[in-house]
Amino acid sequence: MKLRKYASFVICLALVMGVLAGCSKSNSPNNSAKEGEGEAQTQQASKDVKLTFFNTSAEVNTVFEELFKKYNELHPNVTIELIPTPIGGAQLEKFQSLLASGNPATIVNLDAGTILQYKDDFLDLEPEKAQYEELANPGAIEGALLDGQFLGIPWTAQGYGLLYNKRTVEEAIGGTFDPASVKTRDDLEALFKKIEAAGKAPVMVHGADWSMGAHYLGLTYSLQSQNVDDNRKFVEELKNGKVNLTENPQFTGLMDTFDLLKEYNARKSDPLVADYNRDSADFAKGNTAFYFMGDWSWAVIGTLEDRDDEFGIIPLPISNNPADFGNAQVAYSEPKLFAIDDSKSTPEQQEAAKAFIEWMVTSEEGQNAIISEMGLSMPYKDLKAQSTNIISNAVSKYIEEGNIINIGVINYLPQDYWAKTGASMQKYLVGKIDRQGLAQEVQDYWKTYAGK
Amino acid sequence: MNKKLSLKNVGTFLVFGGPSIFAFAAVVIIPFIVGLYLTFTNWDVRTGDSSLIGFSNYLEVFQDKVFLSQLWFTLKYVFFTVVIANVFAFFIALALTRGGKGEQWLRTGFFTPNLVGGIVLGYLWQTLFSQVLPYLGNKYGWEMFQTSWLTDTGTAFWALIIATAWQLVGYLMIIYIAGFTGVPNDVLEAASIDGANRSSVIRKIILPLTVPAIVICIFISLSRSFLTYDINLALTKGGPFNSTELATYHIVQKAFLSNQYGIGQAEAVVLFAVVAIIALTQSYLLKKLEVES
Amino acid sequence: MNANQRILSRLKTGFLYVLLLAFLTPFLLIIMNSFKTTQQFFESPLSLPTTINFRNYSSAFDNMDFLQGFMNSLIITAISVFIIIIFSAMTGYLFVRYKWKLNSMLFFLMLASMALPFQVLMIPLVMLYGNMGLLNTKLTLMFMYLGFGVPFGVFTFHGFIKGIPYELEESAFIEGSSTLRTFFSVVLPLLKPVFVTLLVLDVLWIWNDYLLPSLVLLSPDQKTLPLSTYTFFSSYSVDYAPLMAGLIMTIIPVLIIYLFLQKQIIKGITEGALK
Repeated sequence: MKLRKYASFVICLALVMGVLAGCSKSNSPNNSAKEGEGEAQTQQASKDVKLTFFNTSAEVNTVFEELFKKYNELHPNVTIELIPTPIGGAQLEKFQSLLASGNPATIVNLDAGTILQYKDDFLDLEPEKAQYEELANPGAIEGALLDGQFLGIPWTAQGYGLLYNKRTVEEAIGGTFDPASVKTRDDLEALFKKIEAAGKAPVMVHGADWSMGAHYLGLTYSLQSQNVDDNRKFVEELKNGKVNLTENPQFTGLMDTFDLLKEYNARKSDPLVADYNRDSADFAKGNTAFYFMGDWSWAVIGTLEDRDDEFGIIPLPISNNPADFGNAQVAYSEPKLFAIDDSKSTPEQQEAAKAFIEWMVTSEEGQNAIISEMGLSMPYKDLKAQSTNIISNAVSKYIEEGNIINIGVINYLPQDYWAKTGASMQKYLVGKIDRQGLAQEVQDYWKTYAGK
Repeated sequence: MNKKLSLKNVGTFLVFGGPSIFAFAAVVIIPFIVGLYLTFTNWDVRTGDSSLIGFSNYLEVFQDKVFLSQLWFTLKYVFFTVVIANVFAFFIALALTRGGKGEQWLRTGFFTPNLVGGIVLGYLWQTLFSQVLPYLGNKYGWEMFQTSWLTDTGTAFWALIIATAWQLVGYLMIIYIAGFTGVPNDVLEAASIDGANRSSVIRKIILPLTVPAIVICIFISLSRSFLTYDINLALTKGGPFNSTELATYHIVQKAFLSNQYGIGQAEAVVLFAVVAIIALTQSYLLKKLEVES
Repeated sequence: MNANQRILSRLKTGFLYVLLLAFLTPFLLIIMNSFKTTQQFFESPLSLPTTINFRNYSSAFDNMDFLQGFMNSLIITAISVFIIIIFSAMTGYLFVRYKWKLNSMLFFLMLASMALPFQVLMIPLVMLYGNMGLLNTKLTLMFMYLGFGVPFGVFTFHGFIKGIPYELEESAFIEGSSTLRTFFSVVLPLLKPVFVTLLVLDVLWIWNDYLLPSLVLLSPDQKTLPLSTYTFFSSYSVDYAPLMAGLIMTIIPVLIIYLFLQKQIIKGITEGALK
């Protein structure tokens, strides 16, 4: 019978696999024995520690894995495993399922806001605070505090605003471009007109919900005041229904500028396509002069062929008064923090995790990996690596001058704010709702969080 | 029934049903009961605390207008997906059970979409709809493709259906082919060649003979399209502006992004009830048909 | 066959091939673009690759840890599919031939469970198995596949076993064969087409499954191929070129299995016709 034939085929397959599995299993003790030898040579006394690392910056997984290997060579008793994370919202699913199953990662690289949500599960790093305040840029640790607690160690800084392609802008204006010359919305509009006249698309508005909900509309909350606590109060008032956005100067200013961007948008014919690779490439190659985006886009731009070489950033002007807060500042945050689990991890693991994180942010290998290979900027002093990320170097100038908008308020917002309000922004972008409708939808969203 | 016989029955039950029923209970039933219990609590993964709160999660579900409208959107999506996928699968299978030349390659060809998992498939279609088609549309002036189908609620709806049906067709085709095995070859021949009597041959002979396959296929396409998640995530991400969120997608967002686990879980239970009722009713009705014919 | 019918038949075949092309286009795109860089892909997805270079394949092979992923996928798929098919055929037989109340209730439960959104079970599942310390082994994953695969298997076998005349088994029973032996020697061979169909469908499901392994298998050395594929997904974008190369390498093994079994399906059909 034929059936028997392939039943036996499947069984054989299973058996062969089983044997192979057995082999690979019997292999592993050998490996660990080898590791054991190495360890015996260096530090006999210390116990083996295994750490797991949950990474939400999926694009730099491999860089982290290299770092784990290097660290293991230096400290053979510490092995670190990367927990692969899926994309987008599924990362939170994975994180929650690990927590629910009682297998949380020892170290996490998470959004500051997420760490705050799960603050009871993370180790309070208060004893380490003084040391990191020494190491980091002034204010960097202060900015990473969540409700006053030091729960996560900042390791990367990001800034966003209007990126510009120097060649395209200068060809349009026929001279050197001084980024400081754009002080108001009218300045920007005049510049856009020139670029359009030169036959290039003035600006790229990336139509994804995260860009519009978190980065653009999110500025409404951060621009209220330079003080994060005041911004939080503003959000509380939104939740309680006490704010009328259409009368709020920051909101209306932002939306007036948005109307301008909308009018000169390179993707005007199909604004919601939101293809990150293509949008970034059009900007990098000079088809579009400006791009509402941040220094993280270097991960894509930096690797492109035939791109332009010089890029910069200017603040997004929200009014016609150069002195208004926001017109001379770029948005800045420390989006991801390293935090250590305090629900299931042993004290040995926690100590090893602390040592490893410190090594990552202070050692030459670590800084080199983060700055040169990941192309990110680090909020630390005395860096031993030079960044090739031209955009984050441009952001750094604003940081040095103190010209930043601290967007720390977003750490205290509910996790779905960008998706929900981003959807409203998308409707506005395609003209499905007007300003009034947008304000209403955003206010309605916040009201569902009244008292929460 | 004497004792010996009932002992033998217990033995038969354990041997034939034991392993699969044990696994089924341990993996599906028990977690489902736990999940059901969680819908009556305000369980929060962040703290792990939970206390009983009665039916209030369910009350919220029925007040959640967004969920109800998405349930309606899902129903429409399921209807078109099931009809389109089954009609195509049935006729392709019919055309490919004659033992003709190249049949094997054709079958393989139609089946290939199933070789790739849902998320990747979604990304593939996303590229197709948002880049390749607009590229062609602009080049040749085809108006319907000049903008991406994924940026408009109406076309994004059809994009979702096409992508799902595209994969389902090959899957169902396999089952229909297996079902046609029971139909004598000359009947199939008649159906595929004899143009004059074709439709009546299909209706009077083939359809009744393949009712088991049809029942299976409709059931599968119903449950699979009701539970579509991967393609939704990768193709439209619920956009534009959350207008193409299918029920499962909404549930996941609610439970994991909005941190309203109890409500999300309760919505999933409601969805389950809807799917179960529809799927079982159709099986029951079709099976009755099978008995009558 | 008259001329008209011949034309009609030609037309139909032609239509089938056009439809086939539409079905295969996305795959042609994958193959074509697996030889380009990601930039070339999104700038001109339709152009033919200028050079055939296997850089994407080698980088996908390394980044995905392909061999390990392949072995893990193979072990998990082979064993899970095997146990699903055997046990669900047996249970399907039990449900058809022994019409006890308990059996029909269980059958109904299984049917209903197929309409269950996986997300309902997700958190409870990891809670229960995590707290028993059973996560992170292939065994647990295979056991879960059995539990999730059984309803569909039983459902499929159930329909086909019903069509098998009882007389065949009866004669075996009269000869003194036990139920188990009768099942394996008389019933199972008749289920061949279903067996193969289910084999194909289950292999594909498990080979490509992402969510369940991502919840159960935590450490990197356990990764299956679909988990490895996600190396190329990042927060904002996807690195398409190596992803496509990785996809092709993931597809090829199942394609081979499918082609192998496909012949059996055809044989099953012709044999069925001879009966």
